[in-house]
Amino acid sequence: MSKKQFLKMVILGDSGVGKTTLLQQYVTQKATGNSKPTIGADFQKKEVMVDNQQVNLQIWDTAGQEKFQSLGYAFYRGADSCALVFDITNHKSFENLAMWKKGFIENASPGDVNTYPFVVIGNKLDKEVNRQVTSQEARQWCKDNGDIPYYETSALENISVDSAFLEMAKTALKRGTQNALFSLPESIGGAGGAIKLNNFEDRGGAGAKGGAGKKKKNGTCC
Amino acid sequence: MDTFSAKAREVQRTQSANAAKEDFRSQDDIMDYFTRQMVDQGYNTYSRGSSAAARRSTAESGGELTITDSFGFVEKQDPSWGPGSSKVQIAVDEKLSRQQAQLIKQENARVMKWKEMLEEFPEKKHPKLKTRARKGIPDAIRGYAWQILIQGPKYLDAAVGGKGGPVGGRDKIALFKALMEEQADQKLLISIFKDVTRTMPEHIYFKDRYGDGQKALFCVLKCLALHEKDTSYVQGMGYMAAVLLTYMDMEDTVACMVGILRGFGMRDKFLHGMPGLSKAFYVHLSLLKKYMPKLSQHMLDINFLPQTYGSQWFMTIFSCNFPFPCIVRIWDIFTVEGRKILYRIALAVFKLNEKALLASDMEGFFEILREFQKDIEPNLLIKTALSFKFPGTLIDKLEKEYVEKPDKEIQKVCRME
Repeated sequence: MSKKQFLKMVILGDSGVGKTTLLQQYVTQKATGNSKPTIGADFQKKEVMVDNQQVNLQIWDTAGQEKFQSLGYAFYRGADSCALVFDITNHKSFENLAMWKKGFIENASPGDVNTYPFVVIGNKLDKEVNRQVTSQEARQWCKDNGDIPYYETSALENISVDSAFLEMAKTALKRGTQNALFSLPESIGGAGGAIKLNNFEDRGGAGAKGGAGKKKKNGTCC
Repeated sequence: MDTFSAKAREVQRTQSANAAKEDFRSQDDIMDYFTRQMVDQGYNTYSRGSSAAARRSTAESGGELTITDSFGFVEKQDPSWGPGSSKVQIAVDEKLSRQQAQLIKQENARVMKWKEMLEEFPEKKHPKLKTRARKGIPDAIRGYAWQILIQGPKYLDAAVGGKGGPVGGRDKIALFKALMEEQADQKLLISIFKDVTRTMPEHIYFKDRYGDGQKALFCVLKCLALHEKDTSYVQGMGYMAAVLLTYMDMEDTVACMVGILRGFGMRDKFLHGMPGLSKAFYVHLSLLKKYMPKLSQHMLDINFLPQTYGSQWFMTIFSCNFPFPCIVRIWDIFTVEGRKILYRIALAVFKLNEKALLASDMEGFFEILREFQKDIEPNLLIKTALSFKFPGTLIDKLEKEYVEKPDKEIQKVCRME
């Protein structure tokens, strides 16, 4: 019997790069292209099949303004995967990827940073004419940051959105298996059922405050 | 009555002054400056054409008749003028039915009562001010009432440009002008600009890209950011400013925003690290524990955090995701009673969904709250909120407790990095 997996993902990046629209497109196959500014965070879920396994994705959409990183602590921890999003027509948003990545690592204490399933997404491919960040430049950054997979998407026109999220799910699952990720019955899931995974605990020193180093998993057995 | 007329005249004067400076020099200067910067940068906000082209298309679309609800929100469906439609019917030939006439008479009487109450405010607080605000301020006088109740000009900074007037606070118009002319950091302008084009786009005033509403919102937020040096612009302010702008001018909106931030304890929610927000979460969760202990425990168990739903509520006075008819009713009470209503509304939201939430996991919580926020009946919401009766001093007490001796379990959930 196959087990139902839960994955928590967070989407980070500058204000206005299209995080909400990406998520909207991925979950509802619709995008208005004029999402209102996200305050705090928002949440969507989606069920997908990854390698014949049913996976429940919990995807967290976050506020893009730097100030809201104070809230990050609450959203980042326990994330199995993180998408760093920039706008290909806005070089500044690309330069800020490092800041977002650092903030995530400090707050989420994701264990071994080098193997953590980040994905970089260069969004707004529909505005190619205004491109300010070349694919090459972006790929190079990803390479220098531990071979992070890179996707160029158009949230508006639904280009490569699915594959980017699928990649996140796949790598997260793979890493999860390596880390002996296991599922729990729902009754003991949640905060009470928080389980410590060795890898996360060992390496979780940097930003671990209070329960930040704990890896939380919700799950159900089918 | 005379005092009111004087005040009303003043408001009117401001309005006509604004109308006269439709081409307000520095406003356009800033927009043009801004446009140039964006284009120079190749910044893509303008990719669908230059701003001039965008303005033209705005003007062109003006030829079409847009149907809105009574608050100015564009109706989504095709206009249907049949009975039961929410649209305001324009009955040119028909005589008003007796019922309609009665309603109008009632509403006018309410407006008159409000005029009288506001005349003596803040020197004297009318004994019925609170109960009447809870019933909702008549829409015709709402914007004016908010201005009087918030007392924005009192909080304006004299040093920024406006000179302190002898009575009735600072000169909001001079201050606005000075702030408009002040050069702002480009990064700040860009961050405001990005949000202005996507705040309340379903409202007729804000729906046109680079239209008057968006321009006004941009100017207000720029002035506010320059005035509030400690917070600068923070996302969330835009929602509140947009609500205000649907009822009043730019100058008054800036004054009201400053009043809300400084006089109503909202400012510390926007400071670095958002200390006021975690404090608000603490008070909120403590009250939730008091009134709905089971639900409170369930939320702790499933790790449903206030940061996820509460940021929007408490930072914007519910103006981010609630239906507009609810927003204005909450603001009516907020401007009279202050922050207490924020906590009561939050309690009401949970109370009205308590049963479903108790049986739900974290994902379900989001679904339930999202669905609920789409369509809330204002009277029910307010009634439920007010059914939670506690003295305002309890909030002071909880805020003090948060600093001095917090409940560890709640504190853990509220804290930021």
